[in-house]
Amino acid sequence: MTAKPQILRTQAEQDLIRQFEERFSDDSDGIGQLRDDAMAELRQNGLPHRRVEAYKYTDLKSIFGSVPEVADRPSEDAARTALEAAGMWGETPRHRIVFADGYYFPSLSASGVAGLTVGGVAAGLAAGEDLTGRIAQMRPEQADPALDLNTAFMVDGVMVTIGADFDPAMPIELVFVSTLGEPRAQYVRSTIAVEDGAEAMILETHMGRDGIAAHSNVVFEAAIGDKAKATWIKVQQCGSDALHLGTTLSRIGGEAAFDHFIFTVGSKLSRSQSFLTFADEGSEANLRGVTMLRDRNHADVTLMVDHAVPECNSQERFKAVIDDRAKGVFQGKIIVRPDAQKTDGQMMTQTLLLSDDAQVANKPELEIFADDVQCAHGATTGQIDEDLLFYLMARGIPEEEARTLLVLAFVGETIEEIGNDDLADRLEALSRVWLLGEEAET
Amino acid sequence: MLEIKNLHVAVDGNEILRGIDLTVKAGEVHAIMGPNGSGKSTLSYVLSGKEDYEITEGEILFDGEDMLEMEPHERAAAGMFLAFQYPIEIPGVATMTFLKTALNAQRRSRGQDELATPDFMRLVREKAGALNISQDMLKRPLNVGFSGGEKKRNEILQMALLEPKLCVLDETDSGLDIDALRIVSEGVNALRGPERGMIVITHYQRLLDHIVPDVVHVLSKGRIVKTGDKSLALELEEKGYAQYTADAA
Repeated sequence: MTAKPQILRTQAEQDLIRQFEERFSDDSDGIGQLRDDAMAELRQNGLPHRRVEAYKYTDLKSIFGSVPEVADRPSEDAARTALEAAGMWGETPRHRIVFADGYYFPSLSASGVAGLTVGGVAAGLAAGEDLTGRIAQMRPEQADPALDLNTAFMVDGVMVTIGADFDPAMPIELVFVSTLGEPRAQYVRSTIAVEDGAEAMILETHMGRDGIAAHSNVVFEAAIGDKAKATWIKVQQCGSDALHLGTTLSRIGGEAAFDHFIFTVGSKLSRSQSFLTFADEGSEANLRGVTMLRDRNHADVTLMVDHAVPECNSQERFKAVIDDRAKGVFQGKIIVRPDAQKTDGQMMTQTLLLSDDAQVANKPELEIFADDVQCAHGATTGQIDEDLLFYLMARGIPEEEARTLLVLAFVGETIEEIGNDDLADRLEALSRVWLLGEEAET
Repeated sequence: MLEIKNLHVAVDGNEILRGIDLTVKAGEVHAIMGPNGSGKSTLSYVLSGKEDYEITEGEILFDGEDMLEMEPHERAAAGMFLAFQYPIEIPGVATMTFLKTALNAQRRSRGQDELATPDFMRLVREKAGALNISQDMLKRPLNVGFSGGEKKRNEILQMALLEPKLCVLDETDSGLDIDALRIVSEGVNALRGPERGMIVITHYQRLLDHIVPDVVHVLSKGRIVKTGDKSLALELEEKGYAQYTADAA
């Protein structure tokens, strides 16, 4: 009798394998090999669990109960209705690139903007275009299961090119809305090229309905050209029961500047990853963010900055406010390769715990192989400072109002560093709504 | 206005104030002088309602109300103001925002309408000008990066804006150079009036050349050991505190 090794799979893993076979086994869209390779990786390793170092604090194997079916393309009317309800940036003028349930809607998106070209991934695949050399080109140093999942299941996305003739005065918003009345999954894979000398402000906005256990897995590959300048603000405000996995892979050219800001106020579980590689000299990157968490929610920010070349500066500054029984995770890794002399890499994470049961896990990692570098990391975790609170109260400010003021000040310091007053005001308003509820918006 | 009766206060079981009796009437300026460790700052914190001070005996009445029952913000709204010896730095809160929040919180709790932004701005500019406080300072986060003198002037600005009934100045002269001392003192003197009481806590007589008190108390080892007029301050400057610390022992 021969015993076949039995691999025990969780319900979610079984769901994923079945869904993949039903949907993609016939290699009908030309990127079958990419999908198969990624799926093979997933089959072999399963979903990551706490003994996988990169997912030590965010155990997807136990968190993924089951995996909902891939969402169908909603009607344009439904997409438009969902979009109209999405008021996060108020009246801020912007070029919108619209996704509903993970599908790109060119008809609802900006067109004819000088210096901006947008192509749809699903449309390209359907038309038989060969996208193999255009998407899924960037890979982090270590294979990442969230990324593999996206590569295996990608349904739609956009390929965006921002040229030097693009006018940066108006931001570009990639907005992800949901029409879902029941749990579905979306897998979106996009590329953004900010060409040499170009400049742009990019907003990535995720919204969803409360009470629906929808999954979203969204990956961007961003190529920032030489002397290009990009600020990228991600706002994750998915619904109360949502699960969000977001990954941004960026490759920074020479003498370029890239700011990535990750603002997290939504989802039951989220992980936002930013993998950044300096590919040429003289560039600067700032990774910043604010996470606000309550209930039993879980939010993970995982960063990897790879100094592959000399004379680049990176700074990471993250803040988290955690209430109730929620849990925050911050993992920040800086690699300085042997050639990357004159590197300056700074990392700081600060957490304000608002309850006794709130938790945070901070994991800074520095891997330095060059000798002429400056690198530092720091982490603080604390509660609201009683001396500050007393000072405010001694001036007549009631305790609750004083606490609110101090929490907003804590996150406001980091928000203001995005360097755009209008957008900073919107994010501060979102923080206030998070703290005080909808009535705070007026 | 303020009546302190047989006040005993302990911190971590150590008795710091051991039976203070003090009455301040509207219009009066009282100076409390004493050596380090005599309980001067403890008295100011107890008056403003800071936690961690255990009142073991005695009472404090403010306009006849039991002040010990009031939260710090309620005391402030009732008209109690402490100018801190060490004003706190609060990153992320613009000075202007703080001033407006404080003033409007007090107005609300007194049943008054909140001040609209233009009216508020006008008021602040007027008060700040007199204290040589720039617009730039008002935009900066509260006390962050302020010099010692700027922090103290900012305290007096808050006092001028909030118009308290009772002002307690805790070592407001510490860390001030001569020019800053003059500006701060002028700011305080401008607030003297028949409706307002003041307690000026200081280690040195120097401040009292500028803010001339009606009554001077010597605090030593948690008790008021001598009370006199302004000449008592001059006598202390000459002879030091030694005789009082010996008496109280």
